[in-house]
Amino acid sequence: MDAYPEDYISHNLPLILLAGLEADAHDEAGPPEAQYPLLLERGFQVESDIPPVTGQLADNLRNAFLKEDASDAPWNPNGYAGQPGGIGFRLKSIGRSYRLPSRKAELPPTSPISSSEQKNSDITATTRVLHSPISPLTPGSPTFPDGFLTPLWVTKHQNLVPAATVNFFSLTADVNMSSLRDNQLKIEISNLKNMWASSGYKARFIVVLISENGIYPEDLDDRLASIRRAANLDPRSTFVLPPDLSNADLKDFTTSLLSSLQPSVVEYYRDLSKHARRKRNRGSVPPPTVPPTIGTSQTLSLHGWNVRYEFKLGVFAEFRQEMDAAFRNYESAYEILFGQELFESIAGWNPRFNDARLLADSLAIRILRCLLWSGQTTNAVRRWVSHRDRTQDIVNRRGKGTKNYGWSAWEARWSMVMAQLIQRAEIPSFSADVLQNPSRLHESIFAPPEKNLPVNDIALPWELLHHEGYWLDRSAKYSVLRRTLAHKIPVDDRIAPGQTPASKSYMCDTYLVPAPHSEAPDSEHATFDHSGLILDTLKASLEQFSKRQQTRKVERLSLQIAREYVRVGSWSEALNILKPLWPQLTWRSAGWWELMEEFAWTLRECALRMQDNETIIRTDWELLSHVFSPRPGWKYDLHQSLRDLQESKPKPVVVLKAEDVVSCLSASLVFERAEGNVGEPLRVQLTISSCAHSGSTPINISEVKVGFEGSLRPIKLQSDHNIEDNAPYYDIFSVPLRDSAASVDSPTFLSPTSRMTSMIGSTNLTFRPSQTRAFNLTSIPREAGETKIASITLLIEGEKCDIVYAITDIKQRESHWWLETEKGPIPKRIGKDRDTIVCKILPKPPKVRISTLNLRETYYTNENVTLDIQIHNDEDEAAEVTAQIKLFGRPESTRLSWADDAASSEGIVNIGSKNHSTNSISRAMGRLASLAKVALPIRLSDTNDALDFELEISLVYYLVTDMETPISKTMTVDLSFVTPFGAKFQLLPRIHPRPWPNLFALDDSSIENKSVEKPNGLQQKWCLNSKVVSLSSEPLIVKKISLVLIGIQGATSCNISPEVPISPQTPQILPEELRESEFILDIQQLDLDDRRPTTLSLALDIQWRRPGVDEADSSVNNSVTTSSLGVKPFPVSMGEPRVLASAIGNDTLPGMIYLDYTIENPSMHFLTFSFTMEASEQFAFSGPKTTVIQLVPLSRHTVRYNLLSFKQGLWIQPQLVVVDTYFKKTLRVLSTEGMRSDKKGILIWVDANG
Amino acid sequence: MKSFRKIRHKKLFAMVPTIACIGIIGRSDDPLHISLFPPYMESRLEFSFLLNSCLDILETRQKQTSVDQDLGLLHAVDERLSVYGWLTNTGIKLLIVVDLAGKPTTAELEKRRGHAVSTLKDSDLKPAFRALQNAYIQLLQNPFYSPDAHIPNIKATTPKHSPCSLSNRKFLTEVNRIGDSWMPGIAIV
Repeated sequence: MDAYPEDYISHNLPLILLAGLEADAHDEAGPPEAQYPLLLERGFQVESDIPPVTGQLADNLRNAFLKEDASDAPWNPNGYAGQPGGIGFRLKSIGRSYRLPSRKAELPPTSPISSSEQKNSDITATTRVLHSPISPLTPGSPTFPDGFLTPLWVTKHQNLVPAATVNFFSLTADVNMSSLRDNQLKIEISNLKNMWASSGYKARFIVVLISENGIYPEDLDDRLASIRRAANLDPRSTFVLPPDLSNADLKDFTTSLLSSLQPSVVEYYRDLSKHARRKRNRGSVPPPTVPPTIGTSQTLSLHGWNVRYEFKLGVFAEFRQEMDAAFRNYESAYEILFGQELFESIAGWNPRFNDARLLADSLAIRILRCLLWSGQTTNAVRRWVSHRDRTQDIVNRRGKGTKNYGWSAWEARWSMVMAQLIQRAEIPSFSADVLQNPSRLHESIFAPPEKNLPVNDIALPWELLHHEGYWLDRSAKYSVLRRTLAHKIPVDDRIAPGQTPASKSYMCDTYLVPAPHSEAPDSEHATFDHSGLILDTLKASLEQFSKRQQTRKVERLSLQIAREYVRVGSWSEALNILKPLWPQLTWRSAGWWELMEEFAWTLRECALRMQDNETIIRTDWELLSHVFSPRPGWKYDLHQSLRDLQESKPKPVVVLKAEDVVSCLSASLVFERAEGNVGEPLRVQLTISSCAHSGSTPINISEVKVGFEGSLRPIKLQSDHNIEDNAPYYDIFSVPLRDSAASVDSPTFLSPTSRMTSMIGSTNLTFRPSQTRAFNLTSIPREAGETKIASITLLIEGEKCDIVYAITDIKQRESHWWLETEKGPIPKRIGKDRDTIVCKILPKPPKVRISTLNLRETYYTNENVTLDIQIHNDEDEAAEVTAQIKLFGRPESTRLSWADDAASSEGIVNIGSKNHSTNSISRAMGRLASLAKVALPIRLSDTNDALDFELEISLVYYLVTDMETPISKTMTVDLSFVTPFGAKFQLLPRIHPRPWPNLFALDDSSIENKSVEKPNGLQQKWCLNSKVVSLSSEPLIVKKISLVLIGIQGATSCNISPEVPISPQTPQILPEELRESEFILDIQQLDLDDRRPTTLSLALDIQWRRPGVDEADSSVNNSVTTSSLGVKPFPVSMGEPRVLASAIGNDTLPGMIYLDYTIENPSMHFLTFSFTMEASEQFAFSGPKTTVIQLVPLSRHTVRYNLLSFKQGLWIQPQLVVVDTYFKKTLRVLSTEGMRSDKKGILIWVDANG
Repeated sequence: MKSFRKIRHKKLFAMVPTIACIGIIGRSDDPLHISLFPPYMESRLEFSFLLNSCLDILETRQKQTSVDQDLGLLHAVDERLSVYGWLTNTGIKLLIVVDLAGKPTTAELEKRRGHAVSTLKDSDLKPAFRALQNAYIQLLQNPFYSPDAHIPNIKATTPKHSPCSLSNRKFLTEVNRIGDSWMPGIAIV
């Protein structure tokens, strides 16, 4: 708003003059007052002889008053001291004398032309009406004859004519002098009062009497009353100050005095308003002092007068702080001004055109202020836009158009005005409360639509009042445009007037802007400072945006400011602005490369000018990245820019952190596997690729350092300076690493492993654009634990500066491993589910091997298993080995022992396990030389059950070179035991060939040898038929099968014959092969009298071996296994009668069979049996058809039948029914050898050959 | 007051708001796509700056506990250009720059719409945003499109070459269609 006369546009506050205190320092030559016409020549002088009141109290009082000055108060209803509706004042201390502007202008000197009318002049002079020196009616006034208004009018009311004067006098304490002084005072006050009254201005007259120290309070009232009476003072306008007042008291006094003034001040301006309104309502143009000469100029029209009056009314209302009233007056003034008769009728070349624009702008500013005052933000913006549009319209039609710098300047200014109005109005949305509250910060971007807006009236986006930053930004934009337009002024038009007649072909609007010759001079003449204006505006805008944390906008404005500085050659200022922003630029982190590029090039230019080496390198490094668009004609060469730097000592090092910069080189490192072992090679791949602009010079990396967290040693790759021009774009190198010399390296950047010496390799480290190289590296970890890639550091050495590019925050989204294929190197995705920058280093793996030599797939129950465990020492050195073997499963019944020396095993104390169980054996094996092997035979015995076992062989060993670290190796073996054979048994009766004991025969031997108990009971003969089937999966060799008697229940003796094989006998039994055999059992009761039933427990023992085992060996080794198969307990009944059939064939007569039925009566009763032989179609028989046999106790009898079969080669079935006649019980006929039986009875084979 | 309203209307009767620029901003504030419309086809840099500055406002707005999907007006830079925002639940930001005086009203437009455009409501942008979001969802359904491939990562990896790397032709056509055919009051773009 600086371009406008301050009084014309600023808010009006009633002027209060403080007379009788020390005058304001700058009062003497106040410029606005001085400009007022005739002020010095004809101004009304108010003077007083009494010197100003001095002293501490007077000073304090003066300060207290001046503090109440509301000139800087915000332009809103709460502006003045927080009292709504309160009126702030403008306060001015003037000393004792003051000059008021004259109310009427002088009579103009009579012009020589009118000398002919001299005689009439006296008459006319008396009738001439005199007007204010600034009225359009007064010749010599700036507005004469057709101007609307001059800013001086506002100046008069704001700065020259007070609404009230406060006169300070001191009241003497000197008793002797008091009456004299009081009299002087009375005269002086009366004089002053009269003077003010005679000035024609109706300022209120206030008197403040300041009591001197030591005044008698008793006299005071009388003295005051006398002064008041003499000076004819109103008691309400007289104040007395006691001498000793504190500052707080003074403040209270001033505020109460000023607020008591308010009603009278309002009244004062209301009177002025009334006066103006009366003049307006008169509806005619007042007569001028001198009638204008016809044809030379025109007078102000009635509409023009109305604009004047409305404006005045508005200003007076504003003085009264009645903003609504002021708004209405301003509005109507504005509308009349833009009406057809006024603005439209002024020609563009007329200076009055610009005066009108100034008035229009002033009115618009005042209207905007009124709107903002009442919180009508949206209406304010609309008003702002409409004023712009109307002005544009009028300037286009009547003025010099809007295509010149003058219009742009106005646009810029008009935006600026809005920004300043917003600032002064202190809009609630933009208040400090909102700005300092992060959760409400977003509300401070633009004010919400005002509340009293009609519902269907929706504000356009821009009509929501945005904060000052936006307005300033807009202003700056137009200032830039203004400069551009100014520079387009033809050179001929820039010549200062007076030098050469200018052609004036260029139409320029010079409203509030310098003429072309100073706007854009052709020479080095002092010019308008465009850049200064733009910079100030941008900075002000930036301040607003940064208050609201609009970081990106701030960055953008900073860039604009810097560019403006660059334009004027202020490189260091530009650099100072850009450099702090560069490292944390939001555009970088979010990938707005286009914007960042703009920034970078400007920064680089500044850095180059200021020889800021570091910044040059930093920007060059990033600009080399191909994300930025290549600059046409620019030679991208990092090494050249390093060479071009200014020399400095010591050689600087620029450290670039990967997370902070966009890089032209990228590097990554991956572990091949998630796990590695101490002492074993660990493969990592380092991939470096260049993302520099195509066409840029290759980058030579001098050194690459990789640091690890954990125990891995740092790796350092050095360039071998071997530059190949046509190296392929993708390349894989295997770089051998060697230990660096004993000297300690310079610490690796940010690496926790820097204390360790590096592994060094050298390779080609020159990278062309888009070139990718993978380096396969192998490192041998020395300690277990997790290791992680801590940093990758690329060092580029230049002649004058070194670059260190450090990647420390390594996070790889996906990892690749470059593989050499037929089609060239390709990246293969690896480590999908793991963190490829972390590797777990496991302890050294055991290199002692355990093998089980003769482990079989299956073992058989009862087998004695001998296992040879072999231990190989594959370590590079000898080892102390302790072995421990444990058996898991059902260990209770199975015994584990050393096969070679069972005794020695138990003495060894277990090392591996704490609980010493019987099924765990251990042995110290002593020192085992490198590459030696030792066998450890173990045996498992008592494997009676078909079960699965688990054998754990664990070794704990120490290398002789490192007796501290135990290394363990464990192996588990599954052993499954199955039953090798299954068997089916059948017990068949036989006829005992020996005669039964004779009850009547006395055995001599029994008498002789009583001590030896010889069985003399009944005998029975049985045959046990066994069918053994092999359940094994391999052929086994059966050595012997025997039936063993496990136990007899009852007093019986039992003899078992050896095996009588039935099926064809081979020693080998194949899987699922059947082997049938018979055993004959002779059973005899020990005592004939014993009738108790007897039960036999039998088992079948099968002695067998595996076919592979050598016969000779088997004798030594217990390779023959005896598998025992249990037979169901066999009850033998010796007390019941039975019938046994036996058949004998006749050799001579085929089909002839002698069939004997032997009936036994082992009981002690006489038994009668009836025999009935049934006839059969199969054979003929001889013998009794029916007979009865009576058997005495303990006897047997045989009945023979001769059978002749009709056919040969078949089974015949004779049916003999034997019935115990006493018990009416049919006895079953039992078959014996060579016979079979079924349900119906016995079957006899009739041999074909007889 | 009455008269300046009249003038304002007179101006806006003559001009219809159009879309000047559509910006699609990724989850990490990275520009995915910027479409420009006449008469701003050559002002890519300016609009990049403008879209970028909207992120400031998004940021401060997101400090609130809840942010609606429709962000409404973000800010206006002058009496013509204003920016509206839309936030998808995956963090993609759709920004539309509206030019209030985009093109002059034609008689045909007047007839079709029946009433003159004198205002621009926040809700006028909704159809455009919905259409954009649908287009983006369609793009995501394309199995060959990997949304994460565009996240800028300056940390030790190769940055992607093009900043605005959406290059799906169907998507771009759709964005251009939305930008060309939108007008205030339209129900479906």
